[in-house]
Amino acid sequence: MLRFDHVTKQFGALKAVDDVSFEVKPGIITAVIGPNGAGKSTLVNMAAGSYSVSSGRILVGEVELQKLPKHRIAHAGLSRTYQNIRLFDGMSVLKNLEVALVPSGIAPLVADTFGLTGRAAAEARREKCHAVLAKLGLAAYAQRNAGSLAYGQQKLVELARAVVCEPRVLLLDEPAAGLNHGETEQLKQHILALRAPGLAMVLIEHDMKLIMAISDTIVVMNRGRVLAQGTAADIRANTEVQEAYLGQPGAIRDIEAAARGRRNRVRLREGEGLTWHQP
Amino acid sequence: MTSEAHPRLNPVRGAAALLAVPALVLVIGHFLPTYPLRVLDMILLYAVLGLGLNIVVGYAGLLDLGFVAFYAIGAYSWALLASGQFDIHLPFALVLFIGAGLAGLAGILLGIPVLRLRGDYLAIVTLGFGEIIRVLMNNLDGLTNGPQGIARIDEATLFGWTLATPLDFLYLLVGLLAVAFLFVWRIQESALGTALAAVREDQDAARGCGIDTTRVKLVAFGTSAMIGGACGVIFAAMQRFVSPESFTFWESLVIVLVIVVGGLGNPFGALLGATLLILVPELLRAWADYRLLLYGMALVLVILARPRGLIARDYGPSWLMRRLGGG
Amino acid sequence: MGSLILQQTINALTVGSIYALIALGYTMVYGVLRLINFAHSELFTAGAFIGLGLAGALGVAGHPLGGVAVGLVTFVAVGLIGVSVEIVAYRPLRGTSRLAPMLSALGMAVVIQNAVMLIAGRRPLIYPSFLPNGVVELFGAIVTYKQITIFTVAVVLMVGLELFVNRTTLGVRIRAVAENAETASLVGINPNMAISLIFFIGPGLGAVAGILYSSFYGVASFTMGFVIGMKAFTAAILGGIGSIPGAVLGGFLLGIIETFGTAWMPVLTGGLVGTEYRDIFAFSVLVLILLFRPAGLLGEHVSEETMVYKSDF
Repeated sequence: MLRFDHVTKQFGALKAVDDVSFEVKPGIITAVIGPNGAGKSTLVNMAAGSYSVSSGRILVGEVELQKLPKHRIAHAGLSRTYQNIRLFDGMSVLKNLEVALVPSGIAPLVADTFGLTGRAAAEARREKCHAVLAKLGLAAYAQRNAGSLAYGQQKLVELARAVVCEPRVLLLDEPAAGLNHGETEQLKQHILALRAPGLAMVLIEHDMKLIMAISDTIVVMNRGRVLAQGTAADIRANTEVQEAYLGQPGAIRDIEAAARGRRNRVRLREGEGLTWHQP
Repeated sequence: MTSEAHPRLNPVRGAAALLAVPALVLVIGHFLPTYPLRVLDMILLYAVLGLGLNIVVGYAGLLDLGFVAFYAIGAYSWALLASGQFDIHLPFALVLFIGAGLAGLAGILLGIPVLRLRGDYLAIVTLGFGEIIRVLMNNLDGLTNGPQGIARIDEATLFGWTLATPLDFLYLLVGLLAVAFLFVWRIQESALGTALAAVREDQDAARGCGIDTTRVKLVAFGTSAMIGGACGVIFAAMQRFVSPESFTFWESLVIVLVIVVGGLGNPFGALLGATLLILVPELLRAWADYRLLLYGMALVLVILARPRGLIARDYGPSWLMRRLGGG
Repeated sequence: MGSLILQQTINALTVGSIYALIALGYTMVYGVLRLINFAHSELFTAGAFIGLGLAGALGVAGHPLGGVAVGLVTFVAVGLIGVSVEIVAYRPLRGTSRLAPMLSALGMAVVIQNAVMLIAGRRPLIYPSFLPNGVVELFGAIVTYKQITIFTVAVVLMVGLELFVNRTTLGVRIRAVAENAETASLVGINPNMAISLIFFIGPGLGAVAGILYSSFYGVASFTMGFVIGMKAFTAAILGGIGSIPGAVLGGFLLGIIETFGTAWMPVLTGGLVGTEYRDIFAFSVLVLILLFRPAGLLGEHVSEETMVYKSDF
C-alpha cells in the first residue's frame, strides 16, 4: 500500500535517510523504531510532503507522493498525526474533523457556499465526523474548542481528524508521547480498533511496550538506514539488531528515556515567532 | 462553535429578526435630515467594506492593508464608465458588476505571487499595492485626470430608479448590506469557511488535511476584493466625484479598525465597528487633528486588552439564530 | 556615457546605504520574532525629527562633529523608544495569533507618525545638514562630500553591527535566540534580553538613517517614513529576510535597481513611463522576488521544509 523505494533525504552533508526501501502492507500495523536521529520522523515527513525527497520514490498504490503538492497527498489517501500536536486550537473539535472533509476544487466549494449542493452533503459530512468522534470516545467534546481539551484528548482528536477522511495509509508519529499509562492503554485499544483490511498503519514510537504489543511487523532504522524488518519476535531474536542497539544493556531504557524527554520539552510552533506552550 | 447539529429554527422568528433591523434603519432614515442621513449612509458603506475585508482578515487570518485599492478600482470604474471623462455612460447595474469584477481580478492577480507564501508578506505587498494604485491615480492624467479627480459623474439609475438623494442610497445600501451579510454568513458556515478557519489556525496542518491553502486563500482574497469594488462603485455614485485623496492608506486603516474593534471574524462586529468608527469622529470634530493618533491607540489597546474585539467571533449570526430558535 | 553610469552608481550607493541601514532593523526583528515591525519606518521618521530638535537645542546644525553627537544621542533615544514599543505593544502578544502583533505594530506606526505630526506640524520642515559640503570629481562624475559621508557612516555602522553580532557575547546570544529561541533559553539565554537589544539596535540604526536621509535632501516630513519603509522592507526581502548581510546587499541592490530603472525607464519606453514612477520599482522588485525567489538572495531557504523542520524536531 505504502512503498518506500530507495528513498534518500539529504540535509546538507547529512544523510538523514539513506536509500531506504520497504513496504507497508494494508490491514496490519507496521512500527518503525530506532534511536533518535535514525531518520524515522524524516521518513514520515517526506511521505506527508512536509519535506522534499532528495531521491527515490514514495508510493501509495501507483501514485508517486513525492511528485504531489502537500495537500494532494491527503487526497491520495495518506493522512498523519504529528509528534507535536497540530490541532486547530481555536475551532471546535467537530470543525477540526470537518476540515479533513472539505471538498477539493473551487467549483464544489462555491456550490457549497451558495447551498447549491443542498444541506444533505454538509449533513453527511457532519454525521461522519460525529461517528468517528463517537468511536474514539470523544462524542461529548464535539462542541468544545480543541485547544481547551486535555493533552491526551487532543492527541485523540488528532487521531480522529486523521481517520475521518478514510485514508488508505495512516502515519502515527509518536502517538503515545506524553500520555500517561491509562491514556496509552486507551490509545492502544483505539489503534487496534482502527485496524481494517484497507488501511495500512505506520506507527513511529519510542514506547517499546506499546510497539511490541500491537505491531504486526517492525522496521528497525539506524543512522538513516533500515537495519532489520520482521515480527516482534524476529526483531528480538535478530543478532544484528541486538548488537547494533537492542542487545546493548539498557538500550530500550535509553529509548524510553528519550521519549520521556520529548514530553517535557518546550513546544515551538513555526509561524508564531517565539511561543511557549507547555504540553 | 457556530454550527452544532442545526437546531430547528423557528422560521417566523428568524425571518422577523432578519427583516426587523433593516426595516427599522429605513424607517429611521425617513425621519433624518440630510446630514445625519449621509453619515448613516457612510456607516452602512463601511459596514459592507468591513464585511468584505473580514473574509481575508477575520476568516483567513491574513492582513490586507491595501483594501482601499479595490475600493478605488470600483470607484474609478463608475467614474470612468459613467461620466463625461470619455463620454461613456454605462448603466449602473452593469458597472456594479464591472467594478466588482475588475477589483476581484486585481485581487487574484495580486494574490498569486503572495498567497502561496506565508501570510505576513501579504500585509506588506497589499500595503505597497494600495500605494501603487494611488500613484497611478495621481499620475495617469489622461485616464484619471490626476489629482484633480473626476467630477460631474452621472447620476446612477438602477432599473429606472434614480438614485439621487441620500435616502435613495440608504435603500440601496441597506439592500447591499443585507446581501453581503447573508453572503459572508454563508461563507462562514460553509466548507469554504471551515477551510479558511483552518488556514487561519495552522496553515501546514490544513495542507496536511488536504486543503489547497493557496486556492482557498485566493478565493477569499478575490471575493473580498469584489465586495470592495462594489462598494467603490456605490461610493462614486454617491459622491459623484472621485479623486485619489479618498483612497489613501488611512482608509484601509479605518476599515481594518472597523473589524478589529467590532470583532474579527464576526459579521455583527463589522456593523458595530462601522457605527463606532464613523460616528465617533463625527461627534469629535473639534479633535480632528487627534483622530488618527486616537485610531492608532485604539488599535493597539483593543489588540492588547480585548483581542477578540467588542463582539467575539463566537457570537455571530449563527449563535443569534440558535438563541432565537431555541429561545 | 561612462561617467553618467558612474554618477548614477554613486547616487545609487548613497540611497542604497540608507535603505540598508533601515532594512537591518526589519530583518533583525523578523529573524527573531517573525514580525513585520510596521513601526520601524516611523521610528526612522522620529529619528530625523529628534535629530532636528537636538540640533536646534544644541545649536550644532551644520557642524559635522555636532552631527556625530546628535547622531549618537538620537540613536540611543530612538533605540529606547524601540525597546519600549516592543515591551508595551508586542511582548504581551507573544504566543497569541500571528495577526495580533502585526495589528499592534500597525497601530504603533500610526501612533508614532501622528505623534510626530502633532509635535512637529504637518508641513515639511527644512532640515539643517549635518554633513560636510563640497564636491570631488571622480572620472567625470561628481561626488559630494555628503554622499561620501552617508556611505561611510552607513558602512561603519554595518561593519560595527556585523562585528558586534559575530564577535561579542551579546551578539552571539542574539544569534542564538534568532536561530532557535527554545534551545537558547535551555542554555540559559534570556530571549527577552536579546529581543530588547534587537529593538534597541534596529530602530537606532533607522534613526541614524533618518538623520542622514533628511540631511541629504534638506527636508523632513512626518509622512516620509511610509515609502522609505516599504522600500527598506523590500530590500530586506531581496537580500533574504532574517539575514544581516542580506539586508545590506538588498539595500544597495535596490538602490541600484531603483536609480537605474528610474533613469532609464523614460528612455526605454519613449517617455511613456516617467520618473514619477520611481516608487513603483521597489514594489515591482518585491513582487518579482516573492514570485521567483521568496527566500531572497542570501536568505536561508525559507521553504516550507525548513519551517516544518523547526516545528517537528
